[in-house]
Amino acid sequence: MASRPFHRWRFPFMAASALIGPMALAADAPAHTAADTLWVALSAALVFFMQAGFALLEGGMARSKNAVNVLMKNYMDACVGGLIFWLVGFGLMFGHNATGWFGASHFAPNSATPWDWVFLFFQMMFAATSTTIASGAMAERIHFRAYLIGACVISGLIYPVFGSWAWGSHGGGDGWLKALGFVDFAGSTVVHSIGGWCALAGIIVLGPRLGRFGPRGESRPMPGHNLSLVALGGFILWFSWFGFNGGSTLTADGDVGKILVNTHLGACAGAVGSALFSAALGQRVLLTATVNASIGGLVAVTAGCATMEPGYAILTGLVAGVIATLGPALVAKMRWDDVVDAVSVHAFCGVWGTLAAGLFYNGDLFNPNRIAVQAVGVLAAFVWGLGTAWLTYMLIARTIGIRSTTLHEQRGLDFTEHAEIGYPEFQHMQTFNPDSLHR
Amino acid sequence: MEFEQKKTAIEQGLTPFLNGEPLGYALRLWELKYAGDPVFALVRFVNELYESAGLTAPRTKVLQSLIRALNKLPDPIFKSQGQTTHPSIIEENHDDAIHVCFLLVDTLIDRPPHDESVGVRRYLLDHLKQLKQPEPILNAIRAWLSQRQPIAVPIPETVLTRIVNLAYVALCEYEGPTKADRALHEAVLIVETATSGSKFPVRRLL
Repeated sequence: MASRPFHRWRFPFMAASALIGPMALAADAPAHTAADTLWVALSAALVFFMQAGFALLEGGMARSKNAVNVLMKNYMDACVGGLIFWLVGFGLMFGHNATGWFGASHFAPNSATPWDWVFLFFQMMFAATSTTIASGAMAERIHFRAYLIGACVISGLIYPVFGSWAWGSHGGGDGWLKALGFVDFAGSTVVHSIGGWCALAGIIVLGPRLGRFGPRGESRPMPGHNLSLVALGGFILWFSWFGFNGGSTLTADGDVGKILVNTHLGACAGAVGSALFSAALGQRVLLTATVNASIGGLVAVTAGCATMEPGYAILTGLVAGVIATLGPALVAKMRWDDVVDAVSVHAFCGVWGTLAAGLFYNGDLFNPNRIAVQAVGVLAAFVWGLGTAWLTYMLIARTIGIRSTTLHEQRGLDFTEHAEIGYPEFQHMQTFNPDSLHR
Repeated sequence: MEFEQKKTAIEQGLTPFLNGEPLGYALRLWELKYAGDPVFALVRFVNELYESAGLTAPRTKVLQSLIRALNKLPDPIFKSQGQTTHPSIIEENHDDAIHVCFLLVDTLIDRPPHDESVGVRRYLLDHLKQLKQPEPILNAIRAWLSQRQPIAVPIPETVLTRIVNLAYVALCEYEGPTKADRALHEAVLIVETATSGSKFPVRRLL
């Protein structure tokens, strides 16, 4: 298939990137069939469906007075993230990468080959996934506009720049991590750890919700309002992950089967690992912990699902299940208030999964050099993701403000940020005068 | 006579939930400890009943039933309850907003265990400066919180809202947000019932 270059720039400020000159995005890539295009397009749609999964999972874990706010954040970060990624993110991530540190072409593309469009569409959904991870962690106390600005920075800068290191570049040149041999097939680190570290930065800057920790630092439970939504969100995420990992082959070939099997096994093992671990400790097996552990298994197996045998995918998932179960206690011990345990599930399990991809690399098991490269990638993601996100949120906090007032926390962000409430039949008794809605 | 009428009202309020010996015990408890207390002390009374008399009905329903029964009494009797410990409210009863606000704050604070109630009250005293109000207003609130002294200064409605919020924050810190949300919900119901004749709806303070 002949490739036509992205070559039109809509915005003058991007003219500098034109100095690099127009190029074919997939000049060296193999030709793609119609089946490839169809498979990747369908996979991208599945990845988009993850937004629904995150919305339900996070909405269910929040208190009822903040449910609409959580849903709105998930909805709108997909929207602003999509625009920003098209505008600058894609160019930074997959544009011509002469230095190994960022792409510098293909901003705001308006012309491309059919394959490049589908590739852009697929990557746009990945950016949305990485961006939305932070929303649940920071739920119930962040200003909506502050969150959206943070989402723009994640999808327009933090995620694509790291992505250019590990996956760049579609438009020519290699990212420095990719050149080292870093293995992250579908994004345990690129998508999930980066999202998780951004979430951690956000909750550090925001501080915990009112009364989340007692005077002696003890963690107080703040149960979500609807566990059915949590379970449904978990199932949707799991389902969508088949597109996330399966579509990352970018070809509709025979490799897809094993990738999907490994993906499913990783999720199963994550949930079972968590349940066994809880039972071994004499604890009850909780629904929220089980759902999060299965997602932790999915996050972990994402890096190596194409390059490890199913037995190792199970092992990766089992360990991720334990990490997803232990992680929240560690986070709480630090007095970090992560409403949905996103840091444990996405950041910690992403770290483990990336290391596991090196440890269990098919035909090159336990190669210390490969593991060292994986560790470098993990560390780079931590420094870049946490550092830039922390700076971003601090800047937002110092300028427009990031934290809701205590009155808003009392009333719930559904009312104060959106003038809507999720459950008007029940909530009208809770905090406010219903007549003031929609004013 | 007033005492007997109030006792009858308490009995009527509890009858849907208790009968026989538990009801008798509840009435004796009310006579011994709560007969002279203001209406918001019913929260403590009901809490004690849950611990000792085996009440199982929703707490809010029991409270509402009691308040409704008391509300049916002739006005002087019901109002005299407020007068015993809330001279401020009676003196300023032209100002419904202040009345409702401090009744709500009292209902929020006056919850078991006693140690936490003291802590919540202390938290409010320590954080009053956050209201950023002139000293006369702060002093009036301080005097009300610590010595039950009358509120003799006008307080804007926005400040009353922030006082309620400060009480909510204190409850979050001392009892946790889940209990604080529930406490606020229950307190609003109680105050709403207790001030059903008021021109100022309690929800305006939320």
